[in-house]
Formats: sequence, C-alpha cells, structure tokens
Amino acid sequence: MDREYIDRNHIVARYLADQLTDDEREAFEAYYMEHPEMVREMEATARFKSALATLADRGELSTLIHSHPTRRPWQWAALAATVAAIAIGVSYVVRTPTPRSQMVAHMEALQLPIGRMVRIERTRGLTDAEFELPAAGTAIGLQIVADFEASPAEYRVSLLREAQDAPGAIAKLERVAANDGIVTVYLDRAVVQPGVYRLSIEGAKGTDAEDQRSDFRIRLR
Amino acid sequence: MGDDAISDEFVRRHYAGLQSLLRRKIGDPAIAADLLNEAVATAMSHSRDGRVEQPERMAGYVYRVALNLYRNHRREFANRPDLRAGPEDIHRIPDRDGESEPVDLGLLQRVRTLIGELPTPRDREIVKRYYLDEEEKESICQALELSPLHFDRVIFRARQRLRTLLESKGYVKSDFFNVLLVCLA
Repeated sequence: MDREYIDRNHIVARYLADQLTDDEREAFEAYYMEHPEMVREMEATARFKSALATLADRGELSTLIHSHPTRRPWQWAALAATVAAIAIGVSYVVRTPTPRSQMVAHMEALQLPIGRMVRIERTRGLTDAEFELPAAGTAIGLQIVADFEASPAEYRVSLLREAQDAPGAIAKLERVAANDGIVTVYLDRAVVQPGVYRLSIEGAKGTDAEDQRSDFRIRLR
Repeated sequence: MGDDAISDEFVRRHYAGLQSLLRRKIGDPAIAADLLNEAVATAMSHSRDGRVEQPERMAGYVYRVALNLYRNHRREFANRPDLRAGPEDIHRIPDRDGESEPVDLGLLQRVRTLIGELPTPRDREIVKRYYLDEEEKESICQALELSPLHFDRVIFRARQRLRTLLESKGYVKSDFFNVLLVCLA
C-alpha cells in the first residue's frame, strides 16, 4: 500500500468507518506506523466527522446542505464580471487545439485509438502520476481533477517537459469543458518520450478561477 | 503526574477526534474514554518495554490499539445473546444524559465553511452520507445516480479542504511529541 492507493481508495475514511478488508486494514496499519503524518490526517478526519455529527445534532446540517453555496467576495466579483460578459454577447465557448493538434479535448480529433487512460490528481508523493507509455500510434487519455473548481466549468490545460536536455511546452489547450468535474484531454503518444512532465490546469479566461492553477508532476516510463 | 492524568491530557489534546469517533460508535462516553485511556496506557507501556521502536510511531500505535480494542468491544457486544442486537446497532444507543460531547466552536465554524463552499446540495449530501452516515461509495453512487468519478472528485476536494483546515488549526507534528516526551521522562 502506498500514498496513491490510500488517496484513490479513500482508505482513511473507510478505515475509520471500519469498512476495510482484513488485508487492507493490516496493510494500512503497517503504512501509518511507518508514516506518522498519516495519523494526523486520520485525526483530522475523525474531528471532521465529529463536527458533522454535532452540526447534525443541532439541526444545522440539513439547512447547510440545502443552502446556496458560499462564495468569497472575489468569487462574487468574478461571477458578476462573467454575467456581464454574457450579457454583451462576448462570452463564448471555444475548444481550441494547438496548431499541431498534439493535445485535444475530443479523441475523435486525433483519429487514434486510446492506448491508455490515466487519472491525474494530487497526491503527496514526488510525482502525482506515473505510468507506462502505450504503444506507438495510440493516444493517451488524461482525466484531470483540479484542486479548484471553475465556473463556468472551463479550463486551460498545458503540458511541459521538465527534462533538462529538452525542456519546454509540449501542448496547450485554451479552453476545455469539464464533464462531471473531470477535465479530460487526449494526447498523441508520438509527442511524448519517457521522462518527467508538468501538467498544468488553470481556470479558462472569463471564469471565476482564471487566477487559479494546479500543477501535477507526471513521470512517463 | 500519574499515568491517568497523563492519559487524560494526552487524549484531550491529541485524540479528540478519535475519542469522539469512539463515543459515537460505542454510544457510551465512559466506555469510550476507558477504551482510549487503555490504548494510551498500553502504547506507553509498550514504548517503555522497547516494543515501539521510534517515539514518532506512538501516535499511530495509540490509534491502532484503540481501534483494535473497539473491534473487540463490538465483537463482545455482538456475542451477547441477551442484547439481541448486531454491531450496526451500537451507534444508535444515545449518549448518557449530562455527558454531552465537548464542542470545538472554531472547528465547527470551519466545517460549516467547508460544507457551505461545496458547489451543489448534491455534493454536500455526498460528503454527509460518506463521512457522517458512513455509507459506502457504491451505495451513495447508486442512491444519488452519480458516477464513481464524480464521487471521487467531491470526496477528493473535501479532503483537500480538510487538510487546509487541519493546517490552519496549527495541528502540527511536534504537538504529538511534546506531551509524549513528558510522559516518557
């Protein structure tokens, strides 16, 4: 068991709910004995559960669940700006591939079969994702979970190579719509080599998150 | 300082979440407190015997022992035929009068904010069902007609905010060990 497995399988919450199998529980206990920082996360989760229970006992939780989402002042300003832009007909949705179509929002645009689909989300490891490159002549699907949420749900995605011998941008998409909170892009296998890359996702221009960005470190083998 | 006093202080400062979890699951604050104190005392005893090799592992050791004790307690409860109740019924037993749970008002406010910032009522419902009701992922997805990906995204973001909440509370690594060093001196 490693950090990625723990995050992807919600092990902390399931451990506290006593929902792990015996094997999973033993593996997780061995992990957190070696990684004391995990105990802090367990304790934080337990306190979170406790606070939820208190809010439920007080009758507040149901009201909270059905209230309008809380927005910070800058989010209201951004929302107002977006609404104004829509009102004057400036707002539009464009899915713009890079000139060479190395990375696209719709797999049909690459006309390649999918060689591998990979989930990209924040982990506490040195890299957020690591995987084998698929065969030549295929596409790699990247399902990205940003650390923030843009409204409207449109994002800018870029991929950069971190290697010293050949650094630089590989591909960029200016506006990709999220589906169910997941931003999916497709990358031509031919444009990447084994190595370390940085995948960045930002709120697209005109969204309330255009100043927010998540960077993911990816190792391709 | 006696072991009991040490345990109380240690529990109060560092295991409020675990203690609350046990209270909710067991339904009897006194049993939950006894169980957690026993876990701390066991961990300290094992540490003195050299069975816990590194002090930084003590926090995890307490967690492991406490949850094992809880599982044993639950099994004993389930095996008592006169009670005619399954393990899932334990949490339904109400707290005893006059022993209501201590409330951390700062934490409550942060959790209100966290829930309030989730974008839709459905996302908040997911978090409530998962963390409070302890429903399993598949059950929630089926009940709310949502994809596993959507579920993962909501829980992932809640977890990220939870980490921020944890850090803003100043709940840092050294806290565990300051008391521990006193205990083991």
